[in-house]
Amino acid sequence: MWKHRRQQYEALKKSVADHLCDRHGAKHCTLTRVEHIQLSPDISKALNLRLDLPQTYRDLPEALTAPEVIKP
Amino acid sequence: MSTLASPLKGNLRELSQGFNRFWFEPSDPHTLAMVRLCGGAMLLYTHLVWGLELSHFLGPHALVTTDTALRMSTAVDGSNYTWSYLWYVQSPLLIGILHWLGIIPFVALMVGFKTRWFAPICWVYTMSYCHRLIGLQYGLDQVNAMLATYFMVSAAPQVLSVDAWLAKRAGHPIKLRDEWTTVALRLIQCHMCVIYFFGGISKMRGDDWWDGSAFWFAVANLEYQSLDLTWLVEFRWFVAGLSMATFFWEMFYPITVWPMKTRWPTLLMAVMVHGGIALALGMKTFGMAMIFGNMAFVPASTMRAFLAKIGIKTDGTEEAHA
Repeated sequence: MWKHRRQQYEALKKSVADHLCDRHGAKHCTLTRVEHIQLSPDISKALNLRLDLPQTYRDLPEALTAPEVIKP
Repeated sequence: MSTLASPLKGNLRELSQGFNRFWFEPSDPHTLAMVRLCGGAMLLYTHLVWGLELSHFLGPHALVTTDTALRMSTAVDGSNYTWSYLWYVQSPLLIGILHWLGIIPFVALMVGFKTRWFAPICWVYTMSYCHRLIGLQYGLDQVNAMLATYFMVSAAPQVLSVDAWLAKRAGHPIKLRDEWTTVALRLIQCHMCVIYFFGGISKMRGDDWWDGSAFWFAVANLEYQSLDLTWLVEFRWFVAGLSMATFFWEMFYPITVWPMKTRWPTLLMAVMVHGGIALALGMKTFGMAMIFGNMAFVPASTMRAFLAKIGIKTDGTEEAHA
């Protein structure tokens, strides 16, 4: 199932990249998924309700990094 | 045994009569006609908007190409139950011609002209675009598809329509009350209940709704924000109250919307929730589409009185049921 979903995601990504290359006359296009983390009311209030702080944006990796295997 | 059978027979007869009354008792068309006018306008608007950047959405260089859309709509076992005439049309010229020809049925549906013919054509267009434009749609398109489907049952052309005007001019009698009007309205009403019930169920799975912070996370979502309501952070109890009120309203909508005593507060809450979504979260068309769906619960007599108040005289009969 996860392989199927991954293939769908990669097809979608390629389609969007190809569209942007065609639209802007580019040869290559790099897409990055960015997560915008929402802050809780208390933290937002402490930061003067700024919702666009650079620290709240995180680039998501394309490949999952495998966790370290803890050997006995 | 006969002491059990007799009341059971009576109950079944009552159930059957109630079922028939609910679904098939003829009703006035004013409410459905208004839903058709507004829903048809939304379908037309959506179709026009696709047309503003048609080459970005359809064709060989689309944001989501046909092959990608087909792949995204294919299940892991290889099955694909979607259908669209757009799977077979790749030429930008033909896509454009067919797209702009589609304006005709959408206008016809909205103004109530030959809706028996044009409503199914609108449905084919709507579903074709829904299935082809997978990944590029949201709630508005789902409500559009729902309304387009039920308009095929009846689009209430007896009032607020070109057909009614033409029939009057020609001196032809119009059969005002119709059981198909009731069927179409009931389908829209039941579908709205299903939407809200499952919306409420899915909210139950989120901690944000239980702890009252969901409303905050909605207004603090910068990517959706069209009206800055973050100052509400100073009024935590109000924010929590709004979260809870929204959750309980949605959860119990299928129960509270039917009795006349609780229907108007339920519909008022719907207008406030969807109006709020439209104003504060930028989803104007979705908010409006949901309000149009809720309009299906307005009694025909009330709709007729409202139309008379704004200067639109229509024929009407005595309301048999709400």
